[in-house]
Amino acid sequence: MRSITAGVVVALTGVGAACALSGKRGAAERQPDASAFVDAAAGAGDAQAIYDPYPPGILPSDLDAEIGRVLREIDSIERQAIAEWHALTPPTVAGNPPIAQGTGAASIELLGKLMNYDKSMSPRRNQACASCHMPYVAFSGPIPSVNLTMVAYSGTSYFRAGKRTAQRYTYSPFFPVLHYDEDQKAFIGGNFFDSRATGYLLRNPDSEQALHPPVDPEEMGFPDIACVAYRLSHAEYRSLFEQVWGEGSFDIEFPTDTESICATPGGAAIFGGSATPIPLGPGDRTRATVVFDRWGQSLDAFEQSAAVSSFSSKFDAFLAGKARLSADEAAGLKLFDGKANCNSCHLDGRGTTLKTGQTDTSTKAGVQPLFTCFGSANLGLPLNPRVAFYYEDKPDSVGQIGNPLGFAYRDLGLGTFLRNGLGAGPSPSADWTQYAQATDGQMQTTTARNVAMTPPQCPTTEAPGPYFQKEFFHNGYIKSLKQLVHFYNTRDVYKYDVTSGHCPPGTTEKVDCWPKPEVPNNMDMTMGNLGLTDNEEDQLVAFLQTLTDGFTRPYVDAGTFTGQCMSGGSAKTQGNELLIPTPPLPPCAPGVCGVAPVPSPAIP
Amino acid sequence: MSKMWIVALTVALTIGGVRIIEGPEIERVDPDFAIVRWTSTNPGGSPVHQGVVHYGTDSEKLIQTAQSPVRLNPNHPSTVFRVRLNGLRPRTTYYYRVDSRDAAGKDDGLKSQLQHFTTR
Repeated sequence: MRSITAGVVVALTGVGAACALSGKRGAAERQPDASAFVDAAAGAGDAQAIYDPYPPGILPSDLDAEIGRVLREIDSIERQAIAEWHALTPPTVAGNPPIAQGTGAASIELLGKLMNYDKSMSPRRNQACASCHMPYVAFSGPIPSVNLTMVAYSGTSYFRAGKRTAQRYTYSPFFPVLHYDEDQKAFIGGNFFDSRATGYLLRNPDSEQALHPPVDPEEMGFPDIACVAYRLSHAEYRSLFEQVWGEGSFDIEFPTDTESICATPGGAAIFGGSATPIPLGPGDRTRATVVFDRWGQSLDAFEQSAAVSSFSSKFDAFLAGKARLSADEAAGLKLFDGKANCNSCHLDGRGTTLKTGQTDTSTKAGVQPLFTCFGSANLGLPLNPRVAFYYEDKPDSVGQIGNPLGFAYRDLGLGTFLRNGLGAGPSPSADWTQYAQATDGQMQTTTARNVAMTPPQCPTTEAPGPYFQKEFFHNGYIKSLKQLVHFYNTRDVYKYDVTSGHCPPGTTEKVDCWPKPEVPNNMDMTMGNLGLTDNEEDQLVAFLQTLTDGFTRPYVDAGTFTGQCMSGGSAKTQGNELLIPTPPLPPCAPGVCGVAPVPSPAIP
Repeated sequence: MSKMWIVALTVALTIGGVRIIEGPEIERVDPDFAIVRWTSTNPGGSPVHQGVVHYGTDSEKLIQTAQSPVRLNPNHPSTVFRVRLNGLRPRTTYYYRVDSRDAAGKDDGLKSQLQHFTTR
């Protein structure tokens, strides 16, 4: 059993104190056994029984220390945000419909920020949204060693993790509500790699995205959405919430054992599969749900604010005629639009590719380009055997099994979501299910903006650095931008019928050997053999680095990283020293590939 | 893109239809796998198109079909189509023709000569 940091233990001891903060029980409601929940939360007599079903080497050796480091950074930013709130002049409500005049916009954005860095928004008060999304990496994964090894981040139950990389917040609020475009015959919009945050109800995918992690057992992991309302009702910034969303927002009669229930991670066997273990009457249940929705909308306000999505990159300055690209950056832009064809999906709002003798007059885009088409594609990434999720086939201390399928799990992305499948559903539209086969393996085209953002002291993603180790695509298989561009360029040139860790002697994985795709169906053939030279790949990397916010004005909280940079090696083989051989793969499990309409052709 | 170029491209597409500029050719061939590649004038329309290969071991009966999606770039005058053929037999000669379709399945009207290749 592994140890946990002192800081985390201190955080956990706060649970008992908070248990006293509970209200009245509603009538005629199921009454859980409070002591049973406490026992379940504590595990086998331990403050937190560590979940570690992993073979040696899957978890990074510094995981405890790095989680502690990020929690300290989170506390620091939260304290600063509290001070910002106290310094903010309250808005004046005026007009009809009523508008919070003056500082109304700033208030909701700050409320979202306070929520983002609030680690009490998890059963064990040990994880905030920011635990996986810190500002110095454009709100993606903040721990270099996790990015290098286990790919997904541990949730409130240390060290149980999800299956995918932590996506950047930046520009996610600009994605439209997920819909099937009849002209394009394709799905457009949504949030998450599999687009499962559709926006169908709040009409905003980003707001609905923020509703998932608080009750995802692999993440913050509350057992009931009402726990969000309960913990917010005890938050230091409760009055700001009420100022933004209305007095009386928390007029909810919580049962006396609510804290005990909320301190128990979701998915615990004791809940018997119930998503509403807090017994609330219909009115209180509705009010708690409204607070939960407001949580999502507040976080969306933060993510859409200039503190997160700031349009302050060198490329933005270039579009405005206020900066010049270097020769390599300009060459990279030309490749992005031309030979590499990146802007067929990562739309950059620019004019056409120039021919000899033509002059570029499109220095200003009509809109601020978002570098995404809001669509999805299967790029054919290999299965990454380092993803911790594959090993989570044993129950944890509260009886939760993250991945009962082990290595028989396949990540079909959008296809699984449309089937209401394992780890993705349910889908809000039965009409969409018919398109599952055509979308198997597809993952959302994320914006290219901020793909290269790193902390100031580690100014690049690329070895030899000093660099900040990031991870790319949904399963983190790619570890540098050089590898990313090389994958697009040569996926089909260096195709081998092997799994990761088994490239033939004489070849080097990710250099002149690409293992076979995890999902061979619907593979996008726009890429895979672009004919780029090594120097052209480097020029594309140089261009991608111009998309990092913080060039025209400082990026808020970019300087909060207190960890260590890495150095040495080559971007071409960055992380290869930690490749492990993929075990013999069992066939795709019926729980994934046997759900109608089944994938066609069958996925091995 | 200048207005003149847009007009010229539109006229070309209207009068001549979509035509192949390069290929089709075999980009890669393995014992059980091949990639067929060709470049055509930009067919326009839906952003995602399907490259389609009709193939078989009998030149008179191209009874198998493979298709792969590509994404058009509206700013490019031409489009590269590449299609993956899986499950081929080793050391076997296959005959094929190609075409392309928009997202709704509407044929781009491509005309392709009968070609062949042999797996390793």
